[in-house]
Amino acid sequence: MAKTFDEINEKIKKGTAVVFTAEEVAEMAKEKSVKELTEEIDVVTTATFGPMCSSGAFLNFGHADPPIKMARIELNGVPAYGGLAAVDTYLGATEISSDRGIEYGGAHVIEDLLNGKEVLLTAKGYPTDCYPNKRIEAKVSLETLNQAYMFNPRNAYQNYAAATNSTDKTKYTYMGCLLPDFGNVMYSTSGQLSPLLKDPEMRAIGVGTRIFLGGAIGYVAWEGTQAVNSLEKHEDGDKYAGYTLSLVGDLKKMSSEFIRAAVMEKYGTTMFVGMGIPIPVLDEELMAQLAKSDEELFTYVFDYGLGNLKRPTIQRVSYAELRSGSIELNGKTVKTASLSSIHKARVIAEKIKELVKDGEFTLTKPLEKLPYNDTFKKLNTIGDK
Amino acid sequence: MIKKKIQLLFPPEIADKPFITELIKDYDIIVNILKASITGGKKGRLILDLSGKDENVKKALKYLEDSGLKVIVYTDSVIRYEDKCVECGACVGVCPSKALQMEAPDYRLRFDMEKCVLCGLCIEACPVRAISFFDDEI
Repeated sequence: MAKTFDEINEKIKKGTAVVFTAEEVAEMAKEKSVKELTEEIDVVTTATFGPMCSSGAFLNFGHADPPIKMARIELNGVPAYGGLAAVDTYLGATEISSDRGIEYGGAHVIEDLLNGKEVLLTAKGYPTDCYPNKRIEAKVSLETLNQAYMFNPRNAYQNYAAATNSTDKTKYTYMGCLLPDFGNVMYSTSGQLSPLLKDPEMRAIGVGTRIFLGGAIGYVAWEGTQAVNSLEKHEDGDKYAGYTLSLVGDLKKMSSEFIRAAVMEKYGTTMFVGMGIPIPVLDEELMAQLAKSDEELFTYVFDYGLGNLKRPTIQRVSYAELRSGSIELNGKTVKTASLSSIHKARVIAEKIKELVKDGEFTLTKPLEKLPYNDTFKKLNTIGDK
Repeated sequence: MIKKKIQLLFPPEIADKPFITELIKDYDIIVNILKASITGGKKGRLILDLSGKDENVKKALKYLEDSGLKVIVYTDSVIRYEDKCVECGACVGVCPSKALQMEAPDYRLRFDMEKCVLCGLCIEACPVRAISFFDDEI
C-alpha cells in the first residue's frame, strides 16, 4: 500500500490525518506489523534539540544617513561578517566576543535578539562616494532589522559518534567534559526521534521540505556541509552515519524556547537548535524505518582523548544502551549522558504532531532529491606526507 | 538516621581544635569532608556531610555553635535556574555522585541534594550556565 504526498495533505487539510511521534510509533511497532502501521498512520513526527555549531543568521540593518559600507561589524562585541553588501551580515553562532570570550558569542547575540533585547551594533567602513560614513553605532533589535533569517549550513546530524576519553586527564570537547580513564560517555543524537535516522535514504526529505525550526516554520535549503551517505549493515540493526541538512527559517518568528546559546567549557560557544520534520508514511518500506526503536539504532563510541582526526573506535552501541544511563566499556560500567535534550525533542515532536493534526502544517514534496555523497574528503595541508 | 550538609566557619582562635574527631568520637557521627580550606588570617572553612542519629546530630550542631563556630546548614547545595535549563545531560555526564540524574521514562533532570558532594563539575559543564553554588563562597 502506497500513499502520496497529495493524498496525505488532503487528509491533513480535512483534519483526518493520523499522526504519531516516532517514539509512539516505535512503541506501537511492538504490537503491530509494519503493514498495519502503514495502513493506519499517515504522518510520523521526528525532532532533535542539540548543540549545532554550524548555525547562524543573516541580518540586514537598513541604511544609516549618511550611509556606510559596513566592513568591520560587531554585535555586542561579537564580530560578524563584513564581506557582503553594505548593510548585510552573517552572524555565526560560534563567533566569540572580544571582551567576554566564549562566555558570550554569536549564539548569545541570537538568543538576546530572540528575547526582544536591543543589541549594540558597531560598524566601521572605508569611505566611498556611495558610502561616505566611516563609523556608526546603533542599537538594533529583531524589530528594527529588515530581515533576520537563520541559515544553518549543517544541522540535523543523522547520527553522531558517542565520545569517551582514555587518557588520564579531563578533556574539554564539543561533546562536553570527558572525564579521564573512560569516566563517561557523551552522545548527542535523539535516537529513535532523530529525523534523518527515520528517513535515512531521504525519500521524503529533500530540498524545499517544510520543517519546524526554532519554533517557526523553516525549510530544508540544501544538503548540509559534510553530509555523507554511509550505511553499515549488521544483523541486529543498521548503522547509518553522517548525512546533514542545511536549514533556513525566519528568525523573527522563532523563540528562545527552541534556540539557545551554549558554552562548551574550555571549547567554545555553540547553539542548541530545536528542529523537527514530519515524515509522510509513503509506503511500508519507509514505515519499517520510521518504526525503528532505540534498540535497533546504533552508533560507535570513539576515543576523543587523543586529539587526532582519526579517533580510535571503541565499540558499537545501540541508543537503547546509551539511554539506559550506563554501558559496559572494557569490562567497566561507564556512565552515559546525552548532550541533546530528549525532553525538548519530545516537546517538538508533540508540537509538530498537533500542528499537522490541526491542519496547520502540510507536508512538502521535495523539490529536488538531496545529493548522494559517498566520500568525506580530508584536507591535505602543505607538507603532508 | 539523618543526614545534613553543613558549612563550618572557624575563627582563627579555635582553628586548631580537633572538632571532627569530637564529632566522630563523642557524638557517634559519620563525617564526610567535602571541602576544606584555610583562608588568610587562619580562618577555616569546612563543608561536611554529617550522618547519625537525629538526636546526636542535633546535639553535635549545638556543640559546634556553642564552641564559637559559625554553622550553616544547607537546604540546597547547588541552584538550578529552571528557566535557563534545557535538560540536556551535560551535567549528568560529569556528576560523580549521581546527585544529578536523568532517567526513563521522562528523561527530566533531577537533583538530589543529599548525594551532592559540591565538586562543582556540573557548574562548568552546564552549556547554558544554569547551575551555580547555593553559597557563592564555596
